[in-house]
Amino acid sequence: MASSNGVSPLMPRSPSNINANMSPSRAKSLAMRKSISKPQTAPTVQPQKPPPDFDMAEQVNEEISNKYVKGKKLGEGTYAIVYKGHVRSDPHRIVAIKKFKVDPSQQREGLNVDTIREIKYLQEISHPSIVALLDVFSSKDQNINMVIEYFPNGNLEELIRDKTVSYGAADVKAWMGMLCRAIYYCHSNFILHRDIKPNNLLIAADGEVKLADFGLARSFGDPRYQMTSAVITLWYRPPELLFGARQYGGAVDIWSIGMVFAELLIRRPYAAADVANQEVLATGGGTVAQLDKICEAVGTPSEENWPGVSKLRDYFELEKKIPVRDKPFYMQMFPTAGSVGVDLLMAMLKLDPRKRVTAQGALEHEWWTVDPRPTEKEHLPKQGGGASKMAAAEAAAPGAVTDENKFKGVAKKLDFGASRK
Amino acid sequence: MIEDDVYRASSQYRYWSYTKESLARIRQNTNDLASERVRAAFHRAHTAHPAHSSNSHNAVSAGDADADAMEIDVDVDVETLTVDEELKIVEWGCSKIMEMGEAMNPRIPSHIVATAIQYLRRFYLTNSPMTYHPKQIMTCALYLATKADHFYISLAKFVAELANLSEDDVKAPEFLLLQGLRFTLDVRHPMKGLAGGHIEMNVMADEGRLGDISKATGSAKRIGTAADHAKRLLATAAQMTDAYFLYTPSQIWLAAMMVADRELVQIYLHNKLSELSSNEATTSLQQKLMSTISACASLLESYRSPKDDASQRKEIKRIGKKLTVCQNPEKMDIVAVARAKAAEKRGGKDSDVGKALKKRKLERDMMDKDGDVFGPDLRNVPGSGED
Ligand SMILES: Nc1ncnc2c1ncn2[C@@H]1O[C@H](COP(=O)(O)OP(=O)(O)O)[C@@H](O)[C@H]1O
Repeated sequence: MASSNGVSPLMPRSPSNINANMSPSRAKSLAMRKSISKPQTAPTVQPQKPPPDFDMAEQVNEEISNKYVKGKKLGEGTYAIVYKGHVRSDPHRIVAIKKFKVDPSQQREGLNVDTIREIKYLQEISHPSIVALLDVFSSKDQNINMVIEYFPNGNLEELIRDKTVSYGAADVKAWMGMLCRAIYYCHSNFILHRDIKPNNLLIAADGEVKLADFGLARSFGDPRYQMTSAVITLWYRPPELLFGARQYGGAVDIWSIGMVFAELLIRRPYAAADVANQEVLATGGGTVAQLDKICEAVGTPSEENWPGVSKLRDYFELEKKIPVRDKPFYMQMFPTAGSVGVDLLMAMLKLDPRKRVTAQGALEHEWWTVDPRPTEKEHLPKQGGGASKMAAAEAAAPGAVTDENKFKGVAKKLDFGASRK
Repeated sequence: MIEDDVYRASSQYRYWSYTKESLARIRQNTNDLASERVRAAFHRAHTAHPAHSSNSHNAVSAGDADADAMEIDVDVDVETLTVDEELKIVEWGCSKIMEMGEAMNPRIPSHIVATAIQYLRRFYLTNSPMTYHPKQIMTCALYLATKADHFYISLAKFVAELANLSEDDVKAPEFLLLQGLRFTLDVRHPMKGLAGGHIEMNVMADEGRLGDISKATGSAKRIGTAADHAKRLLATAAQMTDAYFLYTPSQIWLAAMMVADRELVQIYLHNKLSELSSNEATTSLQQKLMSTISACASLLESYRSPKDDASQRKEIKRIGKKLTVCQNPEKMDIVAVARAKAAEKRGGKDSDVGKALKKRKLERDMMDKDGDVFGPDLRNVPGSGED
């Protein structure tokens, strides 16, 4: 049993019991809420006086749709137009409304699978470091609207590139902590993200970095089914996928996290094939170029450092023969990470996915307990502010005498169960 | 025991878990509403006063306009389906999904078929077969399940595997279906738990933690037989009853095991719980568990396939006939409605809308010629049906 007061799935369930004695209006108000801690029953719509023009399903949808007020357009992506909006009953609660461009006549196979999976997985996920899906509703013109948290501060990619923003090791540690907790949560729920990159790490109003874009996500754990290797943006794609592996696990996301870690430290992508040449990309040349970069940055995959690699579907002998990069190499490349930070980075960038650190292993790493302490999220640098940050970060960096005890509690604070409060 | 917190966060728990009473209530609401609307639609059709349409618009905002619509008179005498009849016709749709999954080449894995069946069952909690016939929704449910559960099959190929079906027939209801599913697509099945439980029981027996059921008494065979039986129940009875709405995945697989071998489940639970802790709380917990699982087991046991039951087949035929009469005439053709909406969106030229409707009418007439009450039959594929 998870805890003494935990309800076993084997026990009669509480929400059902609650609903049995609930007044219709109470049930209805509960049905409107979407909070994990308060499970509720589905559409218990009041039987009295239903407007005859709506089916039950439509009534439920209407109620959700009426909760929000749509405002100005924020931006436009491949599949969606994003609007700013707010909660009708509380105009201070700002949200983003992502309206999918659904034109049935344009979609050969119905709603595209990326959208379907994004909705599918986000509905099951609730974690402070993962973008929250607040509601989904349909509008009359047959469009699907996802109500998500509003992110006024852009994403990590923009922040990394913005040279007017300074940040230090403590900030990197804070962001990495959020990212590692997010992916630990996904993996313990048997979900692979498969598209981790700075561009998909959004910065919330309170400074929290949140993992977004679950369009490529999928569940894993059933070895009977093959998965596609054509996932994860090239620069963050692990060698096993570049070699065409069809069976893989959480290690693919960990590699991406390692690449994000490295990028945060040096403020440019660590292993980035030249993707300017679209032709090369289209013919699969991107894979070769990216593997070439990995050889330089991490080392050349071989049977010695990765038993079984040559059996992978698309394996080929790499031209460059570079021994796996050793710690002094990393220390020189990533001085700000410190010795323990470099250990973690190296553990995330192991060529052999079986040797790569797991999400849990990453969270248990010593790095979190050594100096410097991760920045509190409300003090994290943002775009358009905090120029004095660098000075502060440097003052606290190497050489500063630290009180060992001061950091003892840190590991505990990085609780894996941050999922639920 | 195993998946508490994780399960409680799932949409299945948050939106699709009911008591018997709340489940009956929501179905009654849906039925009442749909019946009323069918009568209203018939009324409109009979009196054929185009002016009526303005009424229905007001009804949304103005409360007393309802009265107008409510007082739909008795002179249009349509006999609408009962909740029970609706349920039977939905179950017919579920069995068709099962057949389609088996007939498809490559065969659609059973857990994806199960997802599609649960989509259909969830959809009809807030939609009535009188509004949308299951034959219009079921192929879409199956196709949506393949997309959501990562079993790629092109729509062209999917349609080619089924007789008398166009791509539009499959994808047009998708939006409607998603709305009825409240945009939740994840279904937690008991099959995974059963596989894990099977392994765990074997380990416990080998280590002497299942009392008399041990290696010496042929535990592996006994547990294996029970698990096989349970697996069949999960693919049939668990799909065709309300099990998913009323019980958690662990309760369902344990119940299926219990139908196969009651003593085994009793010993397993007893030992498992006492290993975790031993006090009165555990005893009372165990009693609660056993009674919940027993109730679920009775539900699974009560299921009889219409395949083996002539009177049930006759009953479904009768309901099907009744449904052809009371089908809401304004909602019948999802494809036409979707096309009209798309045409509207493209520029809203009336001629486009009219064209879409006319074209659709022609298609339908052709389809109706060879379709029976239940729509096109599945192509007969050798080897399908039994496994
Ligand atoms: N939650 C949000 N808060 C604020 N702005 C957002 C949010 N989501 C998206 N946007 C804006 O809308 C644009 C398009 O978003 P999206 O459709 O997610 O893009 P993409 O297709 O590139 O993933 C983004 O570039 C961003 O400017």
